[in-house]
Amino acid sequence: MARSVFGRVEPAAERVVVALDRDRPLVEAARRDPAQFDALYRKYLAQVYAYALYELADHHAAEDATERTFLRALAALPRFREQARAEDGPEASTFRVWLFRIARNVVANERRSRRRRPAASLDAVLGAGLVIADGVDLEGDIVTRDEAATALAVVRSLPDDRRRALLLRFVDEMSTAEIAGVLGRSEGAVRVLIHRALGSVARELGHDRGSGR
Amino acid sequence: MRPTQFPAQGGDPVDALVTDQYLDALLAVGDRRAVTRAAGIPGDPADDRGDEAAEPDADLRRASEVLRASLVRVHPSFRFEEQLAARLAALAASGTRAVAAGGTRSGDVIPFPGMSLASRDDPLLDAVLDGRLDPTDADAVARAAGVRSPARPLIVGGAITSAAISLVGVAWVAWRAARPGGSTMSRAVREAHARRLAAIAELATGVHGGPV
Repeated sequence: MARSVFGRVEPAAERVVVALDRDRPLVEAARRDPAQFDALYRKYLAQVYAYALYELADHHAAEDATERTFLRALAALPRFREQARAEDGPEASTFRVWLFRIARNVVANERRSRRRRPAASLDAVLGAGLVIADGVDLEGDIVTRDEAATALAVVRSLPDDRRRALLLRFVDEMSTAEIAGVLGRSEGAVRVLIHRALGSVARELGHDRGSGR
Repeated sequence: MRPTQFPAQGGDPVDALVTDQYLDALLAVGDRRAVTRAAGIPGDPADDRGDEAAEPDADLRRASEVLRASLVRVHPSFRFEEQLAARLAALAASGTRAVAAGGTRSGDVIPFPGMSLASRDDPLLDAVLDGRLDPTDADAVARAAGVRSPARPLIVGGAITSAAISLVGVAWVAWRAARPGGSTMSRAVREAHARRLAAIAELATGVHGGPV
């Protein structure tokens, strides 16, 4: 039975909206006409896909996760509430935070269900997924292929929250405030997570240099 | 320059703030070669700035550089992008659960060649469309997906509390059973009971200490 899905947003909810979300025009357009969601989709597709790819280390799984993320986002858009604060700055996008919270949950479920269905060990799956391809530009000799491989291996082995925070910071270039919104942690906690994660990578790179690899 | 120690379990918030500010600067520079110079990698002439501002130490900066160069943003295939765009457009246009579930309506099925049926059909999408599930709520999504949350402190805590209450209950019952009652009636009952036992003992031994 066909029935309407995308209802109008209640006036009371619209009053909650405050300034600052850089995506507000696109979000409002998508709320008026769901077909306009395409602009938001094109804008954030690569970010969501890259996040899923580094988390799942499998491009088919990353595509599935990306698909689910955007379909759920479109389905839930009428219930999205903008909550940017003045201190979040002019670049803040609560839509992006909201979208990545959906992506985080999709990816987390996928990782957990992989652990429950260990057709191959998670390490093997992760290890097979991402390699430094020959075509990847590593800026000449500034970063060596060994260093990059070591760094990726360490990132994969980090505890969940540290890995997520690091990926959101480097791959999606989110601010600490945005990552805090995605992970549901304080900004201070996110800074410490990233600091510790970087320490793990630095230690391992130091070991490699020490062992002459 | 204030060197930063490698973070241990404690994780100094000040060092974390310094690292955060450094990353802000690092990630704000588009040209990665320029980043290396701006960040002041050891041995780089740009490092002779006499800058006394707080910065992470060289190893931490190097790790940041390597991650900046390694964790590149990758784009999905054009084919995938267009297929998903078409599916989103179909969902937006029809606004029906049928299309959301990958079903047929007016012949507008969007095929996803190369993907399994399971990957096309999100079992939670219906609940999201109906407003029964908030896709940003991690616990609700995990429950709906039938995935047990890894951390269950509430249940563990509840079990411990329950066990503790049980032990306290057993101890209390034992204490109450052993403790003589303090009421007048209790004392009277105990005295009557003691007298009766004494009388039985006298009868059994044939010794009469007085009139019974």
